Amino acid sequence: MPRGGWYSVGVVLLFALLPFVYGNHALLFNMMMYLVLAQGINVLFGFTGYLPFGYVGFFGAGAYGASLAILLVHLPPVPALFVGAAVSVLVALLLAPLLRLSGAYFAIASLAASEVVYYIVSNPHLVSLTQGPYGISLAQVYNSGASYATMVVVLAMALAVVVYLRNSHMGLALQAIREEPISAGFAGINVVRERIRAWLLSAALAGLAGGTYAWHVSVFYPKSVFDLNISVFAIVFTLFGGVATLVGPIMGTLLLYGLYNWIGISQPEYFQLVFGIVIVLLVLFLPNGLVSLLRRVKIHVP
Amino acid sequence: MSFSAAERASPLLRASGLVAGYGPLQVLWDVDLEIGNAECVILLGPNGAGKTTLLKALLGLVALWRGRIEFRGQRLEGQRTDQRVRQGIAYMSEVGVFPNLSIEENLKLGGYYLPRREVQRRAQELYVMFPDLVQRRGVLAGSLSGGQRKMLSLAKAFMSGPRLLVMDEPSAGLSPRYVKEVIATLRQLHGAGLAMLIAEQNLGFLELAGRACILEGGRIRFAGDRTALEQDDILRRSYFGLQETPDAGRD
Ligand SMILES: Nc1ncnc2c1ncn2[C@@H]1O[C@H](COP(=O)(O)OP(=O)(O)OP(=O)(O)O)[C@@H](O)[C@H]1O
Ligand SMILES: [Mg+2]
Repeated sequence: MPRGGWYSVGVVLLFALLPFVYGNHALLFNMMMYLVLAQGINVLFGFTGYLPFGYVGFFGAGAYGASLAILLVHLPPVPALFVGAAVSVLVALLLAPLLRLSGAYFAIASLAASEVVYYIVSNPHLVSLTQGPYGISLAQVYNSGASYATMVVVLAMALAVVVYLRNSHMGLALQAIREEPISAGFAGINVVRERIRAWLLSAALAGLAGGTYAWHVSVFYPKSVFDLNISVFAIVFTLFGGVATLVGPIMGTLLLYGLYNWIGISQPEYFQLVFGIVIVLLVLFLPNGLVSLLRRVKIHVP
Repeated sequence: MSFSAAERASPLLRASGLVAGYGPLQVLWDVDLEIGNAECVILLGPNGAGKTTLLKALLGLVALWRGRIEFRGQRLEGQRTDQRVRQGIAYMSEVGVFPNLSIEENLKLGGYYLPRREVQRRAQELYVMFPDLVQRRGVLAGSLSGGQRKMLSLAKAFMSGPRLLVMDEPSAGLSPRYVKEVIATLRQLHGAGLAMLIAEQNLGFLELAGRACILEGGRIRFAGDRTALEQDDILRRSYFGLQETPDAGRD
């Protein structure tokens, strides 16, 4: 088993079995969704250093791609998810020139790009195609059990991607690019191509999560699948746990999303406060996330 | 290292009429450079002469305005840096290593594009040449001293199995003791048939070189055997004079 493999199997089994003993399936589903998105952010940011604030754009594109494949082409849900992922990858390809930007410019440009996708989808002139601002209803394929099970599989795929990157040549190349793009070129790494591969991989994960989310809730509006909060949550969870590792984003998501559900939904104003404090403490004391605490006491982090 | 008949006949690298610069600033003026198989050439010149620019132009980090570069019979001008590296040019930059990756990961990146069997074979040799590094392979490269990092970046360059090793001031920031160690390691690599191009101000490296080139104001002022350089009074005064003895950094 490659490093981190057993952790992944454990997490996947946990979410596969928990519904039998724990009633709040919506919470479990959303948690898996954020685990996938956090790993998607991890693939891009942790392994290449690009922080995509507009990450939710891929999520929304996947949700709409899958939904329209169901509504217009009458595909069954599972193949439709792949159409959704393909749409996200297509959007990512169109946006690939953004990778020429760096740091804050990239973060902001990706945010702007996701807004563009949102405005296109919700444009009233496109009602006949996307239902514009009125949102999507997939009532005819609604199936909470099957969509939950599908999210378990998507989660397994996301974790497998990160385990692969943690152990592979490609992951090493990406980390080298993140550290020193020019020196990575000296190692014979095609910097542009590897970055684009990570970008597309990351978009595909968000697209799969978006499509599965659309199927699970089966009624949604453009605002809800292009909600900037989705990006922010996924990014904070990832950074809180620690990037470029498998377990960092998992820990971050379980802890913070758990916290959000504990106090955030009943008392959102307190949650904002706690969330804000957590972020400040993180930046000040743990810039490399929770996993750096484990590393400090010499625990190997896969 | 073995060479085909064609490779023996033509030089390893032949650059001619190189013109390059930054924005409107022209730095290199018609520079010619040749490096034979298994030859070591040292590139001397005062600060700002364009040594770094010349090396970067060879690697494709500075765009050429004019000129041609041939390496093992292949034209390099249109190629990206990583493509040039894959043809067998290793570059040891000032940065050199990836500080947040372990020694082992750094070495793996050195042999990134080689077939696995070749990497394993080279790893064996590495064990003999750089035993300290191999022993500490789990350590982050960023925690090494400057000298150790330099050795790591050398080992990394070696892992890629290059034909030509290009180095920009390998002595920079090193104590005399480490300069000696680097020179000794380079001598070993050169002895095994590796060609080198070294931009240096530290004349301790001169002993490695068969030939020297002097760059001044972006033009080649002198190119010839090292012995010819050492016998030329004017050059000797302007280059060896600067640093008191040709042995600076050797003790
Ligand atoms: N990135 C850059 N942008 C603009 N000008 C540059 C740049 N790098 C170098 N130069 C200029 O090009 C000229 C040659 O610089 P270069 O670094 O090649 O010299 P060098 O011979 O390597 O000097 P040193 O011995 O100090 O390393 C200098 O006049 C320098 O100011
Ligand atoms: Mg220089």
